[in-house]
Amino acid sequence: MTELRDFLDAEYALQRDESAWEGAAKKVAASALVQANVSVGEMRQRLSSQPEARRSLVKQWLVTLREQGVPLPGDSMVRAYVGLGGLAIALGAIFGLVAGKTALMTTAGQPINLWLFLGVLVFLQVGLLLAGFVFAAVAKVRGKEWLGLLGRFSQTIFRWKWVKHHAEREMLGALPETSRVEQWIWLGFTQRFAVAFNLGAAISFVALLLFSELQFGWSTTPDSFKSTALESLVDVLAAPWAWAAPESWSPSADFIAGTRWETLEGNFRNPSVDGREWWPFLLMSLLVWGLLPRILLLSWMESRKRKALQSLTWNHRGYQRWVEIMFPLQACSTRTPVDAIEEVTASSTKQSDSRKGILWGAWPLEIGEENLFARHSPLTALHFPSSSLVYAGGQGLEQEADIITQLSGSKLAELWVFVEAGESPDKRLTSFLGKLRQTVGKDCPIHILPLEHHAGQWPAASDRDLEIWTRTLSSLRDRQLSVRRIAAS
Amino acid sequence: MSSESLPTFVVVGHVNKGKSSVVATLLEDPSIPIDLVPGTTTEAAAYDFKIDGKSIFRLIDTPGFQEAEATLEQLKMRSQNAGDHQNAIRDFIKQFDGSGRFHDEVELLRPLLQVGPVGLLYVVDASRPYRATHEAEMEILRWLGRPGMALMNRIGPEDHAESWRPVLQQFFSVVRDFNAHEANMEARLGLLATFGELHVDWKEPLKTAMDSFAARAKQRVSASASALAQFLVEAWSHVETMNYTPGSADSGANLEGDKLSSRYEKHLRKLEADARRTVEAVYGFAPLDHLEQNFNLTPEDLFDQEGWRFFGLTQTQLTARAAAAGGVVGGSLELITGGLSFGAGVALGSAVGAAGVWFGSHRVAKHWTPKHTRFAKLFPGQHGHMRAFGPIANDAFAYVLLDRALVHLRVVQHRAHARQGPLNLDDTAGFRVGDMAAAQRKVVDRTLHACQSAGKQKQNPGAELVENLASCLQAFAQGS
Ligand SMILES: Nc1nc2c(ncn2[C@@H]2O[C@H](COP(=O)(O)OP(=O)(O)OP(=O)(O)O)[C@@H](O)[C@H]2O)c(=O)[nH]1
Ligand SMILES: [Mg+2]
Repeated sequence: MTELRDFLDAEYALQRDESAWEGAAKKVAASALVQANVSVGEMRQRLSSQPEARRSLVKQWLVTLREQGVPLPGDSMVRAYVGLGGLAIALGAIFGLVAGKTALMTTAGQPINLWLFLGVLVFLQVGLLLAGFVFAAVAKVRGKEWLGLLGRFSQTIFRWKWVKHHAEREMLGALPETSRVEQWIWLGFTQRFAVAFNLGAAISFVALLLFSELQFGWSTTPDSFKSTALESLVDVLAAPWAWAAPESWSPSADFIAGTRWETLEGNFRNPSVDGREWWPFLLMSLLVWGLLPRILLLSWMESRKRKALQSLTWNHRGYQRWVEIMFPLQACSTRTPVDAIEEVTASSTKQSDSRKGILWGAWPLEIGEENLFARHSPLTALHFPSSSLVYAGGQGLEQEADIITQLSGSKLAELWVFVEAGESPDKRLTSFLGKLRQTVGKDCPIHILPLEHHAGQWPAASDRDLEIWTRTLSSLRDRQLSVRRIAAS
Repeated sequence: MSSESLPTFVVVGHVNKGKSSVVATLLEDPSIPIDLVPGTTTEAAAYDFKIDGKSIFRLIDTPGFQEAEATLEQLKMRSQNAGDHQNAIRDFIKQFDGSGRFHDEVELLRPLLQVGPVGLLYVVDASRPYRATHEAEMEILRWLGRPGMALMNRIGPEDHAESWRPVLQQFFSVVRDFNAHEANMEARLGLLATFGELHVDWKEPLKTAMDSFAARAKQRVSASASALAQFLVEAWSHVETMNYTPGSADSGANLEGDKLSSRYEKHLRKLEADARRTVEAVYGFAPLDHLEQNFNLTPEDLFDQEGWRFFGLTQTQLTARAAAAGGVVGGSLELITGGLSFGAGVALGSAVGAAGVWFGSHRVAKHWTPKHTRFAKLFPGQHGHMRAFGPIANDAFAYVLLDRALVHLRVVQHRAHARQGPLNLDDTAGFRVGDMAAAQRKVVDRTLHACQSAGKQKQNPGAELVENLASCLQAFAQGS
């Protein structure tokens, strides 16, 4: 039932004002994108094609909502259902015990009336079962839900009454997805009752068998009633087990004729028969015709319920709005994994003299020292002194070789490489990074910081560029190498 | 034409600047690998433009420069003077071929050494400023002594063409703008014409290729127009039928009615999806994903404004729908276009509720039951045991289908084959129903009404109707 709780909660929450759940949804969306490492567009596609993905995302969202203490009715409704299921079983059992006891009523000196027993515990049960099927068939043909008006009514009342302390009633008015499941829950209650009833009857029968002597007999007022009629009835009832069970479980014609009770004489027609020997047949009738169909029906309904739960698709309009808020269409063109890139702040970097920086690439000539170390430049923000900055990656290869010689043998705390964000990394850079790694040892952190420079300004690198950098450099499989970004100002 | 004299152009440039995109767009081939990250193309690959199986010209996509400085250094070590440049390059290739080192440079230089004339297309990204590191690349290319031109692609939004032009002009006789993702037919044909200028023998074949591209474009529009006409006629005349259970109570009847209308919607959506797929195939695309709001035409959706946005209606059309609710029925197109004058503000809000009812699923098309007097005539032999839903009774809705189809065609038609990712159908600039000429609208109107009456009589609307509509749509799509 825990799943049902989720569906109730989700449908309920979606009917509420967005402000109640938007925050949680966005949070879940962000972490889902990072976890799955896909773009918004891919995520939307995945959600539209995989019900499993929808389900798990809804689930995460609900967990977040619950953590935030947003009141949701699912828990209490599910508890109520469990309670109602228990109640159905208890009532069924009590009724069954009483009915069993009643059917086995004896009048002093007379055997138990076979008709009464069969009537109440077999024929009536089979009749009720058939009536149920007919009702279902009619409902189906007429295109109505199984539950019918009464069922709906009680369902609504139940929702309102039970949940009024936990949630806003009006919102529970329409939970179209979950009510498809609820139908099977309510039908399940009726079968729980029936199973418990038959079990109760069987228990009282067995108890009486054990603790008292039960003689069974039958009689009719018109003497013309032939015992062959009862014989064929018994044959039909015993047919399911007659082929396998011992002979005494399917009464013989002689036995049936013999146990006709002669009220006037106060004995069986054949005084030598023992009316007790009816019991195996009666017990089997009770179990096979009363209990078994109900158990089958109950398990079928349970499986239907599970199926209905599994087939809840999360595709209705409220849900679509939810997706729209989490993964807006406009965001489709940008990929989000860049959110996972750590931002650089002055306090997050080590300030030590054994820090080196490399300005990589043919940056335009106009960024001289005064630009690089201007007040608002990222290098200044990182407290990077000009003395620890070297240049490489421009025209000619000498600088790269120089840096490698210069760094070999020195112990560095960390190494920063400042690159031009819009120039995607090429093999010249990656093979230089490989040489650097060999020179500084495998534990020295190397940070790549993609930068943009426009007319004296240092705007943040675009998400597209950052993605190119992270995707390309992650293929180097260097754990101590990371792409960083500056906070957008 | 032997393969030696086949006009051949090698597309080179720095890694990740759109070389493969240029090839894909020029040849209208969406299957060429293109990706965000550098190093997507790892081997040189030849793509031929063919007419009837005969190659007309060839583009060779290459991996692009990754270590131009080091390559140039290697070449310089192998050369004393300008006379032995080509030999130096041969040496270089011989030494590093298969070694793994300078793999990309070897791959891109090799096709340039083949005998016979070979053109060279140097692709740069002019949305980035020129950087001195590119000079080594151009220097190497100059060593090859091949006729070449520079193409300024634009990957980003900015424009730094002015920093590139003076440098490119020193190395290449022709410098052209060419945006691989936005290039329209005209720009592509223009570029092919320039290719023809690179060598005296190439003019003729390139001219043939241009003619063939232009003819193909025409033929694509006409094939798409037929597909759309087929789709619209089918959709507009469609009637969904279903066996009917006599004597069921009202609620049961409603339920069956809902089932019927949802089957109807499903069928229309399927027709639409098929038509779109056909159009995409006509333009040489594998089935594309569509970026647009999903719509669910469940009755509840029909009742709110949001639902109609999902369905593809714009604010204006929504207003038109609201106007229709007010009783201005008929003159279908005027409803949609004229909606503008209603203003999409307050009036809309108040009218939408009523409009939802009017436009509700039962009014998108008529729901026929045996109670209708004409039923027996429409469905002979059905002794009152059948329900029917359709054909489209709502002209505005019919126009919505047309409009959606036109937007889709427009977007597909203008999609460069280098483009990755889904089709964006929310970007609805371009031709729409509202841009049709009065005469064209009249054709559409007449077709619609013919479809409606054909559908009602359970008749096939007929091929002539489809042809008429197709040529109307073709004229419209070609004209804009
Ligand atoms: N917006 C836009 N993007 C482009 C354009 N041309 C290329 N791109 C993008 O740039 C990236 C690289 O394009 P490719 O065509 O793979 O470039 P390439 O030079 O072949 O790359 P490699 O094979 O890796 O050397 C892709 O993400 C393209 O979508 C363009 O004209 N406009
Ligand atoms: Mg490529």
